[in-house]
Amino acid sequence: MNICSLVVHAKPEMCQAVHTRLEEFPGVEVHGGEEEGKLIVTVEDAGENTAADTMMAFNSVEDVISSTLIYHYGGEDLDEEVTGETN
Amino acid sequence: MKLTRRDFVKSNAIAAAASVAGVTLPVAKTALAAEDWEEGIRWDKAACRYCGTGCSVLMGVKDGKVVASQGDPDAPVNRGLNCIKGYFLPKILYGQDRLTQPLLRKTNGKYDKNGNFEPVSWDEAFQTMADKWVAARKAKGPKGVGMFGSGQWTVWEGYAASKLMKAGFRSNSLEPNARHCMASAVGAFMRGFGIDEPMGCYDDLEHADTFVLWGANMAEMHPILWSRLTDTRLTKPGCEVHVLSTFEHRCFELADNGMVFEPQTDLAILNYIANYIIQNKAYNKEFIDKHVNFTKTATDIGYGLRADDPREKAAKNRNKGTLTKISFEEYAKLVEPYTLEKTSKLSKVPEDNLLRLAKAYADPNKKVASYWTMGFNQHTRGVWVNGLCYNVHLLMGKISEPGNSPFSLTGQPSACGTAREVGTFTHRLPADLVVKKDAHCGFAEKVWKLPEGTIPRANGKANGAEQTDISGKPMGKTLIHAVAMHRALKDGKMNCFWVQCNNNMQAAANMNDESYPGWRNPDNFIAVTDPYPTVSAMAADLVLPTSMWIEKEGAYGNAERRTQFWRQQVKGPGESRSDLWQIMEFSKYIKVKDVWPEDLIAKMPEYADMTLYDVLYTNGQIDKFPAEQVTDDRGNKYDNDESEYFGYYVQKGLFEEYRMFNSAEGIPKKGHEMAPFEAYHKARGLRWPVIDGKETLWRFREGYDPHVAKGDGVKFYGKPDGKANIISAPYEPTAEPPDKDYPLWLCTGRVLEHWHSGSMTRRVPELYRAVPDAVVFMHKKDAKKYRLRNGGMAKIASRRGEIVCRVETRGRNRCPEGLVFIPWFDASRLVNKLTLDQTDPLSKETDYKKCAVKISRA
Repeated sequence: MNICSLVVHAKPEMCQAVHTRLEEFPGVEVHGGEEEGKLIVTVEDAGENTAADTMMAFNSVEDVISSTLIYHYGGEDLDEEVTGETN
Repeated sequence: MKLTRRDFVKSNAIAAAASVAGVTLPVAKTALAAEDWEEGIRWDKAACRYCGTGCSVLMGVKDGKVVASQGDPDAPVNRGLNCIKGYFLPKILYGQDRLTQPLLRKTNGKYDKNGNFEPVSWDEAFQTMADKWVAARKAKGPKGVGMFGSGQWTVWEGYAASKLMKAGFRSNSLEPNARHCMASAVGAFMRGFGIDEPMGCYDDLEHADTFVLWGANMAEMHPILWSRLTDTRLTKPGCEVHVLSTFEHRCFELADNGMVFEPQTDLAILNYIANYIIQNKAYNKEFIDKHVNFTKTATDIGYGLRADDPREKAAKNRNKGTLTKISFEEYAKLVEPYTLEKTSKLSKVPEDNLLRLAKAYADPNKKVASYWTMGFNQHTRGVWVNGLCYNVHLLMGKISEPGNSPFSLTGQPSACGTAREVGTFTHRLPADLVVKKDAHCGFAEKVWKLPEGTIPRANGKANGAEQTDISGKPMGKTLIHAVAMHRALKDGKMNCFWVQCNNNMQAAANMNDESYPGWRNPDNFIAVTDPYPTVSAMAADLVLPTSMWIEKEGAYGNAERRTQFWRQQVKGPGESRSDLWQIMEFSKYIKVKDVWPEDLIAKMPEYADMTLYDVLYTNGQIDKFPAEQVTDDRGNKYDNDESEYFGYYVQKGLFEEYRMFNSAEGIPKKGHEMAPFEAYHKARGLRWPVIDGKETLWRFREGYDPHVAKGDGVKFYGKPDGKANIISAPYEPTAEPPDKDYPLWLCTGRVLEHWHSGSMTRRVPELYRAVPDAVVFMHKKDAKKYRLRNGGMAKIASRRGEIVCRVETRGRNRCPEGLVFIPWFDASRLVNKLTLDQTDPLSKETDYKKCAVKISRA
């Protein structure tokens, strides 16, 4: 299982449109950054589409200037319950 | 509420991205990020395995396997960013066909060049190899054996190899694949400045007002630098980007002034810019009076082909690089013919675009950064064209200060750190020293505790006397460059060849006529060290499995002079061993008596019964530091397989001995100083020269470079008089322009998804799926003309061979009429069957960008 985060550059006036286009991909969520022109995006494996395939497709999404990977987790233990010390 | 690891991971991923982008998000999105769910994951930095940018990545290891990765937020190069290939970094270790044991071609239990690969022990592998090497060295002299390494070797691997070949085997037949990649850049640095590598650094990406790309597709090949450049272009008022190439690529999308020029006419365009600057009296007179010498170079120098080629016979000054001093006025006369009108006609770039470019350089109020890669370097006039770009910067004094930066980018992660700084070229020793100078060789022999005259001189004469050789014949001339090595294998002059850390059968030009016949010559024994069964490994006689990248402790040096270290993160699979282990272990199989003549041994008789391992590596310096438990500042522990095996801290010993060349008292050439070993495990790299723990961002300028004294302002201290050379060179045509039989230019290169020959990236399923095969990019009118259609198959043929590719007339690269582009990553479509083994006669670097082909429906 893969979870990645990316920063996707777009002109600020196009960010809302790009936000919508990106979330049409399964496993993709946009978390903010529209004002700065730097969308904070997470991508997860979703059925046939691996996170990597989805990310590669970002380069051909209209109005995307660049997309840059920041973080990747590829462990097999994502559904394990974690008891963190929440304080 | 039940929380899974996914919740924590996601929160962490979002927080990391937001922090890098400088974006504030609602707390709920990132609330879990700081929690300690990561227990069991050990995070540590590593320099990326791919290109010359030198990004730092954080590797998360759990139970001996890499499970997570992240752009390193503390790294000045990439500031937490990572390119798409970064995602796949961990996966390059885990391809299904990793080699895990040595393989030797055998029939009936014995080595046989025509046999099939069978697993053998390391001992059998090295014993077989050693017998062949000793025999070839004795029979054929110093060029009888050869080693071909890499700009992907770690610093200490290159250093250990240099010792093995130059001191141990007494052979200068050592070359890196950087010969195919950076040799022209090196040649121009040495001719222009007397010291290798860029004066500026990546900080120029934020300081410049104007960017000019010359033969560099940064958007695909250096994506992180491209994202920094893009950021500056989009946020800095007045910033503009000029892009020059022989076809349109992704960088043109951001270009304010995009220019497609006829191949080879970059020579004319740069001379035109110099002419424009002079005609308009825009040059910086004070700067050139104080800091510049004017020279011209010998012309009509041939194309580095075999000597009997008619083009070589026709050349007036074959291979000549002689510089003649001239005056400013003479220089002005030499560039005068390059008028706007003439240059536009020759280059096919509209006059308006050329004028806009010239004005950008000539504007005293604009800071200009020029970037180039293989477009300049892989060029039969590569040294010239690199130099012509420095000419323009020097005329304006736009050099060696923030934002004013002529900058040669590299394609490999340690082309600078290993190939160039350690000096794994045939003509070099560490820290810019060269084997043609007795004093330099003498210094190296002293550091290495060797008898005087051990290292073969370029001309085979030490202090005027013939050097004796184990072959019983005089040493003779000892230099042999990469392309000449394949020719020597074919001609039977070199009988043993060891390739490490690169895929030269796929990479070298003219595979059909030179490389393949050379490797399969029945007299020759070819060993290839590789993690995967590459084209090279399969064409070898002995395959040695390697532990790669973070399976060993390593160091790389990037394009901005930054030296970066990493610790061993995981273990290599099976019986694989690092290139470093292989070099050192192999040296145990060679006795000094096997390769040194008696009179040399007589100078240090204590070495008589030793092996090369004893003399080269347990010399009291390299084995000085005991093996230790490698531990980081946070108390995390790491393996170091080489130290454990050899019994001392191998990497530290090699690095500290290497430092005696660049940082000790009394070194022949200053300016390459480095910090002690430990400093690099703590820092995110340091840019040399490092003096008193401080790195240098801009060289040759007072206030930035500690080697420039107060009051000097600018000093190009690589040259004895402290002045840089402006070197006049004209436009000259190519070796093989298109004609009626082969009417199209062929240019080769790379794509974003695959790195170099694809040995690593083609084994990552996602990258393979994204770009499975090389295609031929061409103009749709050409496709129509040759009755091809987009997506159909075409046969591309040159005078040397043919391949079949799918036609692409749309895609990311848009060729002008008359030119086709084919990437070279694809092992099943070997574009180097088509290319010509032409080189720059000065740098000996291959030109992969310009030969003639024809195309027809397949």
